[in-house]
Amino acid sequence: MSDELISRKEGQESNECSGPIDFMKTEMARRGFIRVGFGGLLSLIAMQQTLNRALAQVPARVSGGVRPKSVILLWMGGGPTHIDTWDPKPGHKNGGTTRAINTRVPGVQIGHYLPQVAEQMDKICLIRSMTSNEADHTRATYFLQTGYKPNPTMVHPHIGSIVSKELGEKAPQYPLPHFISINGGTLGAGFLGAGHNAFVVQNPSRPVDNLELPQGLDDQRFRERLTFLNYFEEKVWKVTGDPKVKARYDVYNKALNMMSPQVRQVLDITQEPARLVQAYGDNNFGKGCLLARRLVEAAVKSGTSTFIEVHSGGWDMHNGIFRALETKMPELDAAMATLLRDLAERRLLNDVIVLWMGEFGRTPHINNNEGRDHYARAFSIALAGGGIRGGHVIGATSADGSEVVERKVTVPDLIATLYTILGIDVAKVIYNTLGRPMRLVDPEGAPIQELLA
Amino acid sequence: MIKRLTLLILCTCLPALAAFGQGDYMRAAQTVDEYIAKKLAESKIIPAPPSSDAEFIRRVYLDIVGVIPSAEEVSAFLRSGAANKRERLILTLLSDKQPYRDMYQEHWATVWEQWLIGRGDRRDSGVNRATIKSWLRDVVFAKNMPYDEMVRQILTAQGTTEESGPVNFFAKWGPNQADIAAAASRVFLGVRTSCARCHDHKFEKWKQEDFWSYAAFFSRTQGRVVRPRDDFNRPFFAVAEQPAQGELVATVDDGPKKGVKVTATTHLNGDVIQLTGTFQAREELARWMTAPGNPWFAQNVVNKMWDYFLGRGFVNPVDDFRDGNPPSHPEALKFLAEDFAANGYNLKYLIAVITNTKTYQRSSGLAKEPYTVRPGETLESIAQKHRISVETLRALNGSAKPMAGSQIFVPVQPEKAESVFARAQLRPLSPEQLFYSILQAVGADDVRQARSRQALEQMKANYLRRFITLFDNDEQTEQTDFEATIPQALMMMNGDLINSRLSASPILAQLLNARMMEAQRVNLIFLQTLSRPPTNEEVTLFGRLLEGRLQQARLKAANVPPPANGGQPNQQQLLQAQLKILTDAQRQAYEDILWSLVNSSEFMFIH
Repeated sequence: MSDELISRKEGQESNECSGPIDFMKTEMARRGFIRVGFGGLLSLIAMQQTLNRALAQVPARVSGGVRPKSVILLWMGGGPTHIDTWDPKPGHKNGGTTRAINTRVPGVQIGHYLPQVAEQMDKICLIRSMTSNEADHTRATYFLQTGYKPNPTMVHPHIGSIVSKELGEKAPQYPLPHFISINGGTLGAGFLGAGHNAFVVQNPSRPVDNLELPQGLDDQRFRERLTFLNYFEEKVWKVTGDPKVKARYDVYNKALNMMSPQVRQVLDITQEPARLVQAYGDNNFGKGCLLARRLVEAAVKSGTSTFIEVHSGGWDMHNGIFRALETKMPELDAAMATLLRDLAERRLLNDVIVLWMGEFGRTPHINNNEGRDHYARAFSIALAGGGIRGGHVIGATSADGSEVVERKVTVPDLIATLYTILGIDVAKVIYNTLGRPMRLVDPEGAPIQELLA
Repeated sequence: MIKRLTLLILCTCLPALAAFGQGDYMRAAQTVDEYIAKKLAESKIIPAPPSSDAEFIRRVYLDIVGVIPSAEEVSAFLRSGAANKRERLILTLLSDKQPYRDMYQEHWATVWEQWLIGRGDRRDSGVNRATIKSWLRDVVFAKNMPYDEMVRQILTAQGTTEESGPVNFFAKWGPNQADIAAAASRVFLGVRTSCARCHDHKFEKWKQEDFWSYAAFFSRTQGRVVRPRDDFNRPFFAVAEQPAQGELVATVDDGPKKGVKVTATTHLNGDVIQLTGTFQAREELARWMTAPGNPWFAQNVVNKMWDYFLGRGFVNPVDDFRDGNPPSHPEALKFLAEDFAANGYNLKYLIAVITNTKTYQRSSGLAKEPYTVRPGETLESIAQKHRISVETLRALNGSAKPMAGSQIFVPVQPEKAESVFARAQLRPLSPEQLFYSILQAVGADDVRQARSRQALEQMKANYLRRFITLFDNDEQTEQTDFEATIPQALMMMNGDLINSRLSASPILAQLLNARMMEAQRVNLIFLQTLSRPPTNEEVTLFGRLLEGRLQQARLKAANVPPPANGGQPNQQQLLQAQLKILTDAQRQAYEDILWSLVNSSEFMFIH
């Protein structure tokens, strides 16, 4: 393929150019190193064309009548308090100093720290009846991010890796990874292999590491480096016929794709108006949400799905929780509210599910250090977009916030709901490298029907 | 002892042989090869040809001392006409000769640190990687400690992770007795017992009671994280053991039988446990585990080592020995294990056996098998059917034209070939091997010198962060072994480690300053990176690249603008400016080829 492309380029330029020898044009192209079976993709020319196609402003492809949907996971690391966010208990001693405020939706009240989000409540569905029995950070994070409890016989993939595998593989030309994690690390793809690991953006305010050519290296030199590399790869492939060579080659091509100006532009939030950056919040979580919107926008334009995880840390508030919330919550409020509004204004809200959660909730009881400890028996999560019914609440906890008293929802239920909205078959069985089966969602889980519009 | 001394005197011709005692590693290697060959014959597979000397030296350096050889080492080896030069090279790498001794210790300490305690630690776990690393490097591998002794020290370790390396195993996997018991059986016996913690094993023979009988040996040991008052943020882990009296009892801590007390009566292999008087429980466990009668102990480690060198164990995954998962080559496994035990659990001896096998020394080329041509089939259609090029097929068959009914050879699928060890697998360099090899390739002299270890360790730590994403998840036994990722590829292409090292490469500076032909320079660069001389085609291709760059540079040099002050151009200054343009162009061309070489599969895989 690129053999042809290179030759064509040679033809085009040979009329006008009789200057110094362009090494690649003459030697490599003429000899046609690139042959069937080994796409010869390490070619900037081929790459640019793919990119232009992939990121072109074309309407999303409709397959089977369903537009591909994306996910933005707002991950509250450390375990966010439910009583001070989505399930306030004013008047009860467990409620602490948190007041309840009205929202845009009559009858639905949330914690007073979230006034901007309250204005977006018509888009949000709250689940106040989440329940689990994992209250250790590591185990609970694994449970919420994979839908399975830790188990020595299998390393389960993160839900983002499942999305990357099940939906992302339908769009192999898409130049960005289908699973991106912003503000720090996350769980891996388990037995799906590193190809479905999250691409981690450490800091949304800085350019991603190593996306640009090293200083002082011009395009011609880089192209010639790649041409030589291509030659070596071709040779090894011929001698060994080893799929590992091909796999490595594919990864290099994906990395090259990411170096394109188009991708760098998508990743660059300085392209956004300053007012909008301010509205999201001048902090890593706000900027992460803004980057998430840009990434979803790129995926929607290309007619594919993406899974974006935005981390917010510091929710493990064992001490002085009300003081800690004073600084933490305004960040969440601005970023989440602006994200929902921005997605709605761009008519993207139906194409993306925003899911707010952490690994568990926090004790209703306020401890001696004015803090709340780990609590998994009852906690809340919030969902918006993706075509779900906004503005309503599922389940309820007791007056003291410690027990689920209505419509228990388990973690597998939640994951089943998410996959159902995305059009992923929850009953599909995949196999790890040892041939052990894994159902995409634990059979105990069932989608929450009342949530699906 | 006397025998050993005699041997030392008799065998000065081969360095380091004495380190192996009296074992005949060559004969052992041959025996293993015979078992492998038997199975190959049964499956009618003709293995890939032997590796070339160049392939061999690169592979054996990476595997034994963890870094690629230098250009001089490669040249010397290729030039040598000695019939037993491969054997001699293996012995040299295993000998006490510097720098190999340091490199060997560093490399195997890294490998075993990961085998013992994985790569990542939970925050505040009290694990101290410095002490376990230095124990492995400066004690275990410096003294070539017998493997059974090493395991005994780990199993019975007491004290703190600040002071004792082997305590870290307990710190990592304990203190819960069931957790540490499951880890010990997985790492030292290759047996996964953790399912039996909560219930009788579904398919295998272990009952829940068997597991708790075994776990009871850890019931007298306490371990906990200690936070020093004056240094609260640097916790360590402390382990202490109380002597046991008469019997050992464990309490089931999970599953339906939670709370039931189990008295230790039989070992996992069925041996009856006989304990009387006062004893140290973990010492008793170590005695049983490392006893010659315990078949798993030696088999587990030789299987692990075989997997390390060949890319695949006889039992796969390596920590899953059980009746339902039999070894691919039971005789070879049994022989290697018994031979290893008979030779004093000497790890250097085991390495000498494995690396001297023909099986280890095969090339990564194609293994082949016979194929009967069907009517109407052509070379093209057969090639297509096997997803290979016609050229490849021709290479296996010479000029023979396929006729219906005649027999030709087709390549065996890589995975199938590797399952019978018919070719050398492509194994990705570990992050550490890659790091050291990049430095070696650009000629950085800090790779082999212990004195620069501090600075080097810091640089390595920074760089490893890119390669290894640490998850709190150590039992990643199921991950496919090939794990190239986009961030790694980006780092290899554009990262500072590569590019700053390229532009400051001592080897390039040396080559460009020396009086030599371009072809000689190219030759040395290939030897330095891929451990082989370039092909004629590669020399020609590079020559053209260089010529193109120089032509561009000459044009540029011809147009160097006169000095800005409008005065008389200074001829000498002008010449210098022109010369710089030319030498820069030349240097850049070499940097570029070096870049392509270190980014290539041939560099990034052990082959």
